[in-house]
Amino acid sequence: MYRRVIKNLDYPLLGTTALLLLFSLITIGSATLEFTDSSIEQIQGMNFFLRLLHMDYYFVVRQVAWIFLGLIVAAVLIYIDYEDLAKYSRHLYLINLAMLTAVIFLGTSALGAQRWIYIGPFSFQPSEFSKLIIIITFADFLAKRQGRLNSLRELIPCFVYVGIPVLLILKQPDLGTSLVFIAMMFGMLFAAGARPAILAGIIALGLVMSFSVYEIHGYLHNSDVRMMEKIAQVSKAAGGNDISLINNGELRREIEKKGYSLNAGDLNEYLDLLKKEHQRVRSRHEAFHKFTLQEYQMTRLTIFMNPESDLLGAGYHVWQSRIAIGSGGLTGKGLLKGTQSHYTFLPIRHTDFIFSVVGEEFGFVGVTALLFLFYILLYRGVRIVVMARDTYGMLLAAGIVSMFAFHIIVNIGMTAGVMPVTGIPLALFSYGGSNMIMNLAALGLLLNVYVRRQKLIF
Amino acid sequence: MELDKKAVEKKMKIFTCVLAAVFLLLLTRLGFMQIVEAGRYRTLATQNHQRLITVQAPRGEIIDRNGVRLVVNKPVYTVSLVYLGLEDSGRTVDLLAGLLEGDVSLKGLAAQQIRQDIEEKIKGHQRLYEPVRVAVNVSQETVNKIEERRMELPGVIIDVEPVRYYPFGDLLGEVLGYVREITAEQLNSHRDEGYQMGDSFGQTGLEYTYESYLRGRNGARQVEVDAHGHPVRDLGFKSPVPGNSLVTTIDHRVQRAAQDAVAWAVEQTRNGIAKVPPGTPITGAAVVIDVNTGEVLAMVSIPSYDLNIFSQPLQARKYNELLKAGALRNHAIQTPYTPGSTFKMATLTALLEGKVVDPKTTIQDPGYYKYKKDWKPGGHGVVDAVGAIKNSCDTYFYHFGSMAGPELIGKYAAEYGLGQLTGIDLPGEEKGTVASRELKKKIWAGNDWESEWREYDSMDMAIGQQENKFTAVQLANYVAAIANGGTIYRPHLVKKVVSPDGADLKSFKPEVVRKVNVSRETLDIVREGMRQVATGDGTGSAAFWGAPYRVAAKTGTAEVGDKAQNSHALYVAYAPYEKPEVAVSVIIEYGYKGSSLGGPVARKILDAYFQAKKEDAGEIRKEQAPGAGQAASPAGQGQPGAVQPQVRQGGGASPPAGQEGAVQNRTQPQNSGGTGGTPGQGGTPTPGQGGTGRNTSGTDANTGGGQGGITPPASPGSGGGVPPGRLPVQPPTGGNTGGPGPGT
Repeated sequence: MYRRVIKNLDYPLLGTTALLLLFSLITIGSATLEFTDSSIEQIQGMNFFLRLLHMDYYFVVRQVAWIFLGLIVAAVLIYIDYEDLAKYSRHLYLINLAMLTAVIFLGTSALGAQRWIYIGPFSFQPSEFSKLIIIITFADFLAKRQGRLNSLRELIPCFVYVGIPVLLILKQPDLGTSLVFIAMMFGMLFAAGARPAILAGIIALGLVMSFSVYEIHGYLHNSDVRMMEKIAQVSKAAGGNDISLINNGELRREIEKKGYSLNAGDLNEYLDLLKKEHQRVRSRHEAFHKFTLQEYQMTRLTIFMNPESDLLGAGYHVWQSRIAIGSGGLTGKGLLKGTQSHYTFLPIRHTDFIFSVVGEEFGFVGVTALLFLFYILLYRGVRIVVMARDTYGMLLAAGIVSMFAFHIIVNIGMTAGVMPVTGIPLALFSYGGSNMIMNLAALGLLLNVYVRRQKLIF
Repeated sequence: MELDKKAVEKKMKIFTCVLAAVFLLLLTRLGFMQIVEAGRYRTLATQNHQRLITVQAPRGEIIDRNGVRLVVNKPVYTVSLVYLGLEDSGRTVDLLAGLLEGDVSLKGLAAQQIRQDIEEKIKGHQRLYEPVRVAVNVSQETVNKIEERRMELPGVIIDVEPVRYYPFGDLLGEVLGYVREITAEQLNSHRDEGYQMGDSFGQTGLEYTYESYLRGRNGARQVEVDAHGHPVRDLGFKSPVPGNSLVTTIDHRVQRAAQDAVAWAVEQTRNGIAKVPPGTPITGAAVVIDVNTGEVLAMVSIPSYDLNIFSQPLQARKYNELLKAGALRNHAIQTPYTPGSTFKMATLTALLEGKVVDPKTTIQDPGYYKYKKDWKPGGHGVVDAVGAIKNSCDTYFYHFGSMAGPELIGKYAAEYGLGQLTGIDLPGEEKGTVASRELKKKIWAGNDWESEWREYDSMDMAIGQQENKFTAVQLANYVAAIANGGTIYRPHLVKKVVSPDGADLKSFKPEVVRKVNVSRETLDIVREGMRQVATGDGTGSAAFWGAPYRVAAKTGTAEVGDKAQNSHALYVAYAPYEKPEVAVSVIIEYGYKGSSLGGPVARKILDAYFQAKKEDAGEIRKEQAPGAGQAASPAGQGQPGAVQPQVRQGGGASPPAGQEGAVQNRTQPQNSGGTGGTPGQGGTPTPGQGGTGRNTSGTDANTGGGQGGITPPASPGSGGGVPPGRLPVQPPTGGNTGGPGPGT
């Protein structure tokens, strides 16, 4: 049994993973190194291997520990027959919901979102493990409904099934992870045989809806801001500085059109009127955020739509990331020589923006190699989907592959400025324990399906 | 239900294709960024992490004719802020404003105001990542406070930069002018000269005229910085080149005396003499010119102010106060005053040259001429040309002035340079006006009666009234021309420009504008008249009672023409009478009588001049001392002055000179160049020590000729001052070698 598992592993997949992890460890070691004095000069003359010794190993050592933990989890997951997992899917689903609810009450917030739960000295991100659990349980859910996914009505239970954990994650709020869930759901529905036309229709509808949400927010937000500006100007004028009004002919005409003069008494009256109106506009704006996305998420969308509108504020991250990648050029600046990284212009560079470090230090050659490795990984994953011995296994593999694909595409797209910033890490590459363990566990599950591709083996 | 392998395979094929397409799209995007646009991003990355930090070059210094430094540079702390666009920039500004509150350089400004100031500066400074200077001349205490909280203040830079410092405060203020950050307009008009925002620029006075010499060339430091603006490493350094120094013609002692004297007179005027509403600015001016070169020894404009206020953030209130008081104007060149009787030398010149009178022509003065009264009731008796000047006899000038007419008088006024630009090397010189028919017509245009030139206008003009209005520098230059026999020099304030390494870059030689077309005889009579003014019962003689030098002068009491019947007090003079060296003009606005206020001021100024001359002469003689010392040494043991008179000055035993030398040493401790090594410590108790030297300053002791010893009495005979840190290799023996020290 043990030997058979070893014999039947997908070695190209394992090899690709190993290369990716090695690449990742080097990049993390480089990304976290900061120069605060002229020590950068020592590095200039060194060859690649000497430079490896000068990296910052603090996070590398940790990441290696996470990898080992992940490998253990993966080994366990390979060993258990995946079909046994299906038996516990109902329990797993409930555990998942409980865990996500716990985050809302016990979670520690960071960067404006509650994502972490602390157990003793360790913290973990339940939403990461939730991804895997959803794959396991939803695959079972779909496997039982195979052939009955041809109408919208038949699809609705599926949406509800995935929708509940998604809502809990949105509550954290973590838009990026919820999008991962939705991507996995569509990937698995597609594999399970849902009619592609319906799926495409729903996706299109979703896009249209998010675009209108964006536009509606733009309208609400702008009228709120404009109102505030008006109030500021009128109160300035009421305070005796009429230049501010004279300079703004439009506002002056508006006031006069409403039958107010420009003397202090009338202006104060008009000010009260404006304040009342503003309250209405403000509550409308706030109500919008209460039921849809938060202001910061809308800002991210705005930045994505118009990246150069605020290079020093909200657009800073993406802009610095683009500078890092672009300035890397064809062959890169060399390990530990990236100025964007080591002079700390590039933010959160060992986690979400690690790809930019690759782009800066290894250039187009480096990113092509990395994309190639990721493609091999995904390609081997797709092979496993096809080779799975039953529907459940096939759906498991499809879910895992879509999860990886979504992570990779969205993260790289974000660093290159072609996708909005969503805070999704680069699979198998970004620093982070929960994510690494989950990714390796997912690979373990994938290999599980591969190892058991032929019924007769066991 | 059994798995439909075929369907899955088909779907996965589609999936793989879509995946490949997306990856290719990503790769295309990355390739576009990293290959096509790489240059642009590389530039952006460089802009991110490389900074060119300007290193301010010190401006040239301004030195008086004896090497005393009037304007120097003082290193001060400056605080700059690099706007990083970080989310907490607002907090940084808040904190910084709080720390700067109460600092001397920003006295009286509340944190809120400082904060607004900083924000405005940042807003006005369009280029990101470049430091914006927030405060200059910050105290050590504040710097410590900022350093303590360094980590909370990303982007805040503390630097040391040279700023202008005026050791004598208000001395020569309006003439020196002030320096401020270059304005946008100046930047525009001097675009090709390499100025940059934030550079210093001379705004007025000599600082303005000689801007191109004084300005230094800023250096730069190229550094790599991290995202917080903290320098990580140096990439290169271009040293700043200091500006060239100006050696002026000013003698700071004469200037001090003149400025104090005029200020005193203006104060007197304010306290009772002037009949003006309180708060009316009262001005005063004086100019001292070397009659043989046109060099300006002193130029006074009162009210004055301490130039050091311009080295700090200037408050609008303070600036407006100065502006209102007239302190920012150089009244010696920018305010034309009615000359009154000081004009009479020009009138007399016109009368003599125009043959209206000859030197012997006399009048019997009854105290009036026609309808105009002389200043002295009862008149002056029989008055000839010399007497007319001596007594300032209005009747004489009424009489012949009306005969001469405005053209003739105006011609000779112009001949002396009155009502014309002198061409002095200062910006903003005013021309003034000489009375004339045209001028009167222009002023009274529309008034048929008044716009015509009348006989009384000629009479007024002849005594320096009417529309005659001249500046103090014109008057001084006019007196100088009378004194030197008719040569008009261009008055100038700068002798030479010295480069930072001490080489003469440019020298300004005396420049003759023209020889006045006036005969020797006429000038002799005018001079004789001026001499008599200052002697005996002359109108201006009281002021020069007991002066150890001979003066020629003229008083002036110029009617302002206001209801309160105010008049300006004027006094012009030159000295010594026989061999003129220096001409003085003094104007005290509303000072009533030239003889009562102008005279004493002129006296103080001329006293200071001759005193300074005496001091210098002592120094010059001491300068020659090494030779004298050597020569005298054999005889010098206790026998000063027995054989060679020079020994007295050289070898010591000349206490007064020695004291002066000591004073000199105190006032100019770092003085080099011109007087380097010359002033001696005269009265050393060891006569016969070759010469004297200045051991107060190590380098100076090695320059100049004044080597020799202030050796301690314990080691007689060892000549030569020992520069600190250097011992003579061979102790010189005897007096013969007592001259040059080991440093020469």
